[in-house]
Amino acid sequence: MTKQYGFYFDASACTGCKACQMACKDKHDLDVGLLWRRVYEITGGEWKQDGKTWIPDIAAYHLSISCNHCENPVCSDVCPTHAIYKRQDGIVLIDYSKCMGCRYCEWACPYSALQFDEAFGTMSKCHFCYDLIDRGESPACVTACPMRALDFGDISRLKKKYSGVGRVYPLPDERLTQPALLINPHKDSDRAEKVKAVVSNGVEVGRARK
Amino acid sequence: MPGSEWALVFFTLLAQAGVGTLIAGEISKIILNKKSSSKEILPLIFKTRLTAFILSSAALSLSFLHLGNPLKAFNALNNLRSSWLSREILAAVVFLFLLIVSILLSWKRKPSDTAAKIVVGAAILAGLFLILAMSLLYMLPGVLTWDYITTPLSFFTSTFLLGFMAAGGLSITEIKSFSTSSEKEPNSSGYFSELRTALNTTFILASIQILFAIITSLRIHNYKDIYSPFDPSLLLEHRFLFSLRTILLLAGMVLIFLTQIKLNSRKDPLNVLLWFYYSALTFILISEILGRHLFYAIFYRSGI
Repeated sequence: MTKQYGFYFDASACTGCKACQMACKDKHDLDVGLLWRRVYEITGGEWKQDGKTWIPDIAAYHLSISCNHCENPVCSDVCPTHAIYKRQDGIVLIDYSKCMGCRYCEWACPYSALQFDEAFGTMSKCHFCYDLIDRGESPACVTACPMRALDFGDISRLKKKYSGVGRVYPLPDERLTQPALLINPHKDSDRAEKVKAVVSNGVEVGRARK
Repeated sequence: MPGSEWALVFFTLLAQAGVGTLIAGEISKIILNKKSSSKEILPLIFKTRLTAFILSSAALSLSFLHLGNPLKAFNALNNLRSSWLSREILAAVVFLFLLIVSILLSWKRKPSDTAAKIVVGAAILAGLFLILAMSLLYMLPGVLTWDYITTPLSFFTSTFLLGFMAAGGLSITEIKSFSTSSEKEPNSSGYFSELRTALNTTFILASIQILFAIITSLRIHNYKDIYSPFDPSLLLEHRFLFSLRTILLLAGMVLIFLTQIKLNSRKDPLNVLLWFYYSALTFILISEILGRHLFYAIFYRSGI
């Protein structure tokens, strides 16, 4: 594989407006409950007393995460039908003619990128707007971001262009799947781990009980 | 956790019961061979294989209910290279095929028939591989509650537990049919020995399942200290069901013990023995269904 498409996300610039999430949902006409790109609101911490002074020991920031088109996609490894495959340019796609909707990939993906589409009985996920990419355009989420917090391209080129890391709190250990993702962390991300911050919009992104 | 997993609860339990019944049936055959004539044990061999087939085919049929697109299920064998789910499905199909062949071969033939022995041996190996694949497919890196040694150990324990329960039930049925038959009573001591073996094994395996339930419950309790972006207290809500599962297993074990006492004294009529045994089976079976439901309900993955 000569190329590996990936995303760059600047958490320090993201305001959590969710334009990327909505642009994705709109472009792909996703049903209620399906979000191929999710904006997670990470919040946590409390006030702490230092002598007579109360100091906020809190963390709050946003993470815009979709399928990371991992270099080692665990979803593809576990898929019994071989419906999930990697293109030459590293984009991970689903062959809907093969997918039987067993949802095994949904268990396996630590980014919850794979989502079951009730209407078709198959899995669905971000496909990097490959139709736009093939025409030389940018993915819908990247185009929609008013803060320019999202970028895309060959992951090695992104790593030269930006400084960043592959994992911030609360994303999983990047060694699991080697995501094609580069993140410029928010200044609160280290503190968030310390104060055990949580996803405060879990219900909205379909990852917590209502 | 994606949706309701009842189809998988019954698929895994029935498949394990099918494999277990075949294995327990073959062990029973060895015990019976020592004490009974081949003519007497033929019906039991046939019945155990048929029961294993019914359970396994029901399991495979139920697995389709889990699929979003069952018509594409024929693609399930596409990824034998890296998917344990593909391997599980292959093993299930091979097991079922060999089981059908073994049933046909055991049809009014001698139990010592070499061809039947080879086919049954191969079916047992396919069945054991099925349980192994079934266990390993759940051991996904990052899924904290599944990726642990208790997953294969409890799956294999369930296999033998359900298998010996079924074998014991079939033995009692045979004993009952002999006792009500007008024909000359056969040497049923072989069946009593087999029933004792089934009872003892069920008792031991049920106690091992209690141990696994306690280990899992304790491990879940520890997860409250492990990071999760979502509310980890959800896992603790299942403590009541874990307690209920343990109580049901204990109740089943007590009834198995009482069945043993009744069996040794032989004072009570056969119906009393049956009542105790089937009550024990009911408790253990409900506990196993509850345990498997909990297995899926405690799905807990690191990440987002």
